[in-house]
Amino acid sequence: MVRFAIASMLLLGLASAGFTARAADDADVERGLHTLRVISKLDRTCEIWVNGSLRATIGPFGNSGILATTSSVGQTEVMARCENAVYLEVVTETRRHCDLTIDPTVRGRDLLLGPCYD
Amino acid sequence: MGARSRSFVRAVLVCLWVAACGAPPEEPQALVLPLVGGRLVPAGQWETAVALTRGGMITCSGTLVHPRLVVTAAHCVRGLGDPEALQEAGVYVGPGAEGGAVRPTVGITRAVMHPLYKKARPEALFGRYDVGLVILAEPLHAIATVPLLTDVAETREALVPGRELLLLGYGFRDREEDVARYGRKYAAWTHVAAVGRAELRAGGAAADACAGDSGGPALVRLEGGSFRLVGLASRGPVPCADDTKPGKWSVLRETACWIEEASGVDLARGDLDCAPPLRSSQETPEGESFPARCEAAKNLGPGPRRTLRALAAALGEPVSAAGSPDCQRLGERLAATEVLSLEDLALTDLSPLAGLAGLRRISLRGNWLRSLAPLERLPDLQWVDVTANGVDEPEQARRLEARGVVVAGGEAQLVP
Repeated sequence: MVRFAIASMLLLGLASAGFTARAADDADVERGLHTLRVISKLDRTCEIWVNGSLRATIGPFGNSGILATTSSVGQTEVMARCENAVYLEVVTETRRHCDLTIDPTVRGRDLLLGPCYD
Repeated sequence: MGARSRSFVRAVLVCLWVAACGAPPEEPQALVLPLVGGRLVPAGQWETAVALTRGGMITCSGTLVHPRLVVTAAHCVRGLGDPEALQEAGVYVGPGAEGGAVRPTVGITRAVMHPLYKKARPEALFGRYDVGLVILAEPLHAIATVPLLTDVAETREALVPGRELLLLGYGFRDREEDVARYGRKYAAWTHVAAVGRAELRAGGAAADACAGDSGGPALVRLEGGSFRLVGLASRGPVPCADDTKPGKWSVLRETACWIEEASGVDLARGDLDCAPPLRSSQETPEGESFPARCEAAKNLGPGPRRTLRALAAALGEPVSAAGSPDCQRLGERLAATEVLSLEDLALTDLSPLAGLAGLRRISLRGNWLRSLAPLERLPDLQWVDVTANGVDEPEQARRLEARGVVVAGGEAQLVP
């Protein structure tokens, strides 16, 4: 039983070391930028903030044009501040471009994500 | 590019350096290196480094290698098979603009990813084949390009750990990836940390590529003063510029043949061997004497010819002015040879060896071999060392082992 436990621990350790090595390599991120575009269905002006930076101001029913953003997965926070309302989405997509829509009919004031494509 | 120091002295050095870095110089000249980080490239200089745009925003860097051809990272052209995406993509030539909004200089008619992108195994040696190409809608004739590093002698001189590497790109210039600090063309010097067959590692806290630099060139300066294009920025740690995790660049020598084939552009690539390596022992001619195979190999391309020259050199046999050995004499010498060392000779094709009797031990360390198939036809072979090669099919080593041959270094290894 003890031998089994030791063997299991060794195996787990080896497996874990292998996973760690692989994970370290996989942690590399490709160094191209991704893009997004925010489209508004509101009759108001909106500020578009990406990861805490003001990137565009769009007029009623306008769009932001193409905005470049980092390719780090899960790090792209897109916020639209439209007078009294704030719409938010954290984009975790790995595809190269996403459209996001400010749609007052969407519950919870999330930005509507999609389509995303390469 | 990750940037750190802003000292006055360094700024002066950079000004001196920048003044010397317009079109790639062919004459030897003093090279003043910036010490750390990236430095702005003035308009009109290093125009071989270009940017890829989508919707007027810089998303990647690229490298003009021919008036109609830009090479970049495969992931930078992902999705450009779609005509609509292609329509909104472009190539920009110039110093760039802070924030990345630029007017593309020229449109794109076709974009292709390398067919092995993310499929190569083992990735440790071959990388991801993160190479793509872009065919321009109009030629950019007035721009000086930098030749690819494909020549064997130049590669052996320049593509080694510790070698200085000049990086160019439009990417982020700090580790925080501040969008206000990207989109202008910067250059930085760093050092090669390790070299694999299709990927090299470089960069650290002092200088590194960052997001937006993908596809940008990594250049080496040869002893004679001219520059060569070694590779393209591919990937790296987040945040970038980390001493413990170097970035990764695709080595273009590995994909130069594909670039020519896929683009139809002649890159004048010197003695690069674009003939596909023999994959099985059945592909090597049976029943011929060594002199006959040797004579045939002289016409098979630079790979087999290089192997013949290496055999002649190893045995002290002379070669002609054209670099060809006397096949009859070489055969006689080889027939009396049991042990052979052919190390670090950039050999790619062993087909001239197939069928040699009497050879028992052979060291092939540090070459660029992919196929061991010709070794299966060495009837007396007992031991072979293939350390630090590019044998991408472990079954090849296993087939030799099944015949009783001891194979050292069958696994892929980076240099060092």
